[in-house]
Amino acid sequence: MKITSALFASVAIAALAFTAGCSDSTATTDAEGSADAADAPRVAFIPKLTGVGFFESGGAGAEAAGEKYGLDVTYVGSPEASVAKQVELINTEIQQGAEAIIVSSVSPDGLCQVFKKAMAQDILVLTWDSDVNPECRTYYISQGTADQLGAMLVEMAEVDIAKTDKVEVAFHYASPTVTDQNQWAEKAKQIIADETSWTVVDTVFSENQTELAVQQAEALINANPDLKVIFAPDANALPGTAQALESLSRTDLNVVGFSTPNVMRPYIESGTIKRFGLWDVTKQGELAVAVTKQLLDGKKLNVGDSFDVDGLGTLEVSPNSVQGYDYEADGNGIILMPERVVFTKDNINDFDF
Amino acid sequence: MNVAKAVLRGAARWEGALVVILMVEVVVFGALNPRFLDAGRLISSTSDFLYLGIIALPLAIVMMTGGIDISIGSIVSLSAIVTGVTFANGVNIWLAACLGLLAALLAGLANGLAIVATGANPMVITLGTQFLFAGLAVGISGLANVSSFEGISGLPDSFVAVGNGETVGIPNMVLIFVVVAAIFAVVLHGTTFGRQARLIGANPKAAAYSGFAVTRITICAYLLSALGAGIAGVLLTSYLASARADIGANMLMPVLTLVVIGGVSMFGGEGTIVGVIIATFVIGFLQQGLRFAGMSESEVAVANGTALVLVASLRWWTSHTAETLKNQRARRRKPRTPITGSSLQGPEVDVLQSTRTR
Amino acid sequence: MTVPGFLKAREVVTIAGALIFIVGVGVAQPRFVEYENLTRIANSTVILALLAAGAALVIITRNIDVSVGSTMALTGIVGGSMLRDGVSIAVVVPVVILAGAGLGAVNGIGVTYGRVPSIVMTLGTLGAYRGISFILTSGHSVENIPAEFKKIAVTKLLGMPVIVWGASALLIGLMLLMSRTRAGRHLYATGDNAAGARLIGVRTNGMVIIAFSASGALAALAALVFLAQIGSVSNQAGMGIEMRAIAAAVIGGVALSGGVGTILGATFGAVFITTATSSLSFIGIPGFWADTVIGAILLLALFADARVRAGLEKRRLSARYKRELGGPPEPPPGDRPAPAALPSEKRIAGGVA
Repeated sequence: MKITSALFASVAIAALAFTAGCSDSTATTDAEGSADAADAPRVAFIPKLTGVGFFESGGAGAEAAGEKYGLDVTYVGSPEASVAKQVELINTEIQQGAEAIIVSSVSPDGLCQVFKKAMAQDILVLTWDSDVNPECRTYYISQGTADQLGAMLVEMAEVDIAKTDKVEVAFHYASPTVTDQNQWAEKAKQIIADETSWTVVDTVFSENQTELAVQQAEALINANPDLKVIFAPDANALPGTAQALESLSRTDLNVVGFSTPNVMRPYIESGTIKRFGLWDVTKQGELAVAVTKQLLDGKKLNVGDSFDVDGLGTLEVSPNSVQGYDYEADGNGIILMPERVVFTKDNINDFDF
Repeated sequence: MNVAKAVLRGAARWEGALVVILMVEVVVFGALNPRFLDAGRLISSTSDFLYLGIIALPLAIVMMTGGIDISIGSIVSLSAIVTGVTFANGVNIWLAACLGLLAALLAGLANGLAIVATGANPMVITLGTQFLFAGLAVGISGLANVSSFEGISGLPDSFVAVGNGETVGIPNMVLIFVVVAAIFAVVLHGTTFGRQARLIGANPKAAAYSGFAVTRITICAYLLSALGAGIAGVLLTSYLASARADIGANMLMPVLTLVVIGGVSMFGGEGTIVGVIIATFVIGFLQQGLRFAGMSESEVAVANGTALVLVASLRWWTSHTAETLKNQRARRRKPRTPITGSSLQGPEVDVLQSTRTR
Repeated sequence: MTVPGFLKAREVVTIAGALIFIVGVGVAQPRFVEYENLTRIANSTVILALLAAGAALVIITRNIDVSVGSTMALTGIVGGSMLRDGVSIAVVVPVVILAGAGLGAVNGIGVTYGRVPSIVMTLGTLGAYRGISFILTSGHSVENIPAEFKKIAVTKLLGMPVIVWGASALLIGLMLLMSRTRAGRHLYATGDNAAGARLIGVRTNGMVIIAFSASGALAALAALVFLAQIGSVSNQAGMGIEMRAIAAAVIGGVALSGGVGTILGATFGAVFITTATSSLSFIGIPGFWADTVIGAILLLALFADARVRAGLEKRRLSARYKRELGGPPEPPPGDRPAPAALPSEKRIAGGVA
């Protein structure tokens, strides 16, 4: 038995030393890569999950802005969109001495405890893309309010389908547990109910799985032959739905939604999809880091204050109420992206993300 | 006393190797990034992985009976969402937490009964219930319609404090883990149930013929593993201050890693609770340490997967080599005595082990 | 009843179940059974059916492979990048399949020579392979698959996509290999009784490695289908699909205790799962019940199987009593046959022998 332990322990130590050796070398190259990284304040930029073009582009924007502003921005995330994993990552960042943490939250409440802990240690907490309850962070770098984005969905559909037409429409997005997408969909459904003669016949979910997105969309289209519009406000559901249209050779359906231009380019070029929307997520990452820089430099931002960001112009701090919250406080608010983009054949080649 | 003896015996073996690895980890990662060594940090950071240990401990018992429970992640989700939904419907939070645990126990009972009733492989039964319970969790939150997509929040502070607070400077998570671990250690090493459960795993036929209540013990094992998952579900709900239907998704792999690294055999009969407890820290600190050393999540995933496979393989080969060496020594020591017994033993053990591997 | 009869009975139950289900939904929603919709279901079954066949091969050798989702993502990313960079299809297809077989062989070698239990081995590679695909792509999806490759997915023969014909031909070929060749019989022997198989000269380690390599190669083929059907592949591709594949194999009558089951059964298990989930839209059940439905079908299949097996065992025993006692058949004591008290493994082995 002693032999077992001894043999095993020696091999394990060797393996561990080897692993550590590897990581050590990567760490040094990182440090050499960006000058003064050791002195620059550490900023963690955290997506909901990694491996999705949307978040990777946001991360790239944030890291580029970090170099520009002299911050040590690291883009870290988990391949799984899980709250427990995000909490773990944020804790690790806190312990590694991060001075600011910028998160696209998987859950509006689930991160509050860890954020409160961070703020108690004077760490700056911001959110981007997907918010938490406002009392748990300072500012939310928003792509637009639920009102704006919900309305944007309906407006994109309205170009081809009149509000007074009695048509069937449906929704397709990631899952009923995704906060922001649900808010947009709920808002859009409300506008449809109040202002149009359209009927929402179904809502399907594809759990962030590309193949499921195609299958769900195909099932949806076949189950509802009179369907005229599908709203897909999800970076995975939209290309999936577009692919379903191509597989079924259907040209009489309007699909609108939110996704990234690089994913959607082939469908726009083939004419399967006429238009879809998004915001410039690279700029959203930049903006988040720019705001962080100003705050770390001691600037105070209150509701109504305006400030300049290089490349984005003058921005204003909006009250939390634009997102439907009741909570307002000093040094707390929402910073809205100045514009959202509708991508069509004419402008899609101006974007690369 | 029995417990203490078992613990000591265990420490001399595989568990000893784990302790060595743990110490090496602390030293190596501490050298790479001194921040890693901060004592307060080391203790408080355990809250991020101890809940996995709480699931892994009773799962180890199930695996010692030769079974497996794939549905644990789904049971975590189920207990979390039942707690949340009943609370949102006006039930007192503590009662709601009990209902969450009850839901977990019912799930465990369903697993146990289905396994006993069909006689099918536990892996397929719990694969089925994995889908079933995860679906039910999402379904319940969908039906309850209480802003299900956002998770259920607004939990009282006293409940949130269970997972987040500290008692005499030690995080509650750690205290809860210690209590749970002690209970499971006693259950496995100090009770008739524990011994019989291990024998069922080591030699199912012998257990059946010696008149053990195999059915009851099997069901109890699955009840325990569901209870562990239920406790983790409620604890996570408290820790995150929010109940979510997808909270247990993707938990299977990390939990199984703990059990396997902890030295529990996939084929039953072997392993100790102490091993799993140490493994919880070994893996928890390994992942943190790799992050502290500047590795990205995907690099950590590769390192983790490789470590899992290497350890499992090394474990077999080291014990195999040790066995061979022992046999050789025995042969050398008694050159005159008829060697049939010891010379046969080597290959025989080999065949037995390798057929079990299949 | 002889063994082949019993084996057939298992698939008959699954096939009958799937057909009854399709007819049932068809009665409620005639549109569901239209040719176009059925071809669509067939089309979206292909990926799962390929993976289920791989799962069946591995399970027959008494192992399990939970890494196929990650293998599919990794090979898809390799193949997608090559296609995107203009490598010709004739090169990409064999390279990707070989890569898949290689990744599978790693599992097989770990299980045989490394002595790692298969679930541990493949859980390890499940994490590791996905990690590698993240590192290879630095998290980005692979987009812009050439139209010439995507065209394969929309090419039809007799109204059915060629991919469906191709996959059917491949699966039928596999079935023949399994039932008609020595290699197939050796695969069954390996899973049924490894020690016995070795004694009669079966290279059990080789068979296990072959089974895992085949599973990897089938996952790579699934990745190619994925690329053609979806037109892009993200690092999230195939997450969680391994459990569905195993569920499909089990529903189709492949027993985890090894040595039992067929490719035909696994294929129909996949058909059953896809049909059931895609019928939800047609019969008006919210999409989030999909997992519950899969779980329920799987458990029903297992219970049905347990009943059938218990019945067969009873018949076998009474036949033996009849033979040995020479008198009229006597039911075994108690309402449950005696072996029921024995551990499950024993009974399954008994049913096969």
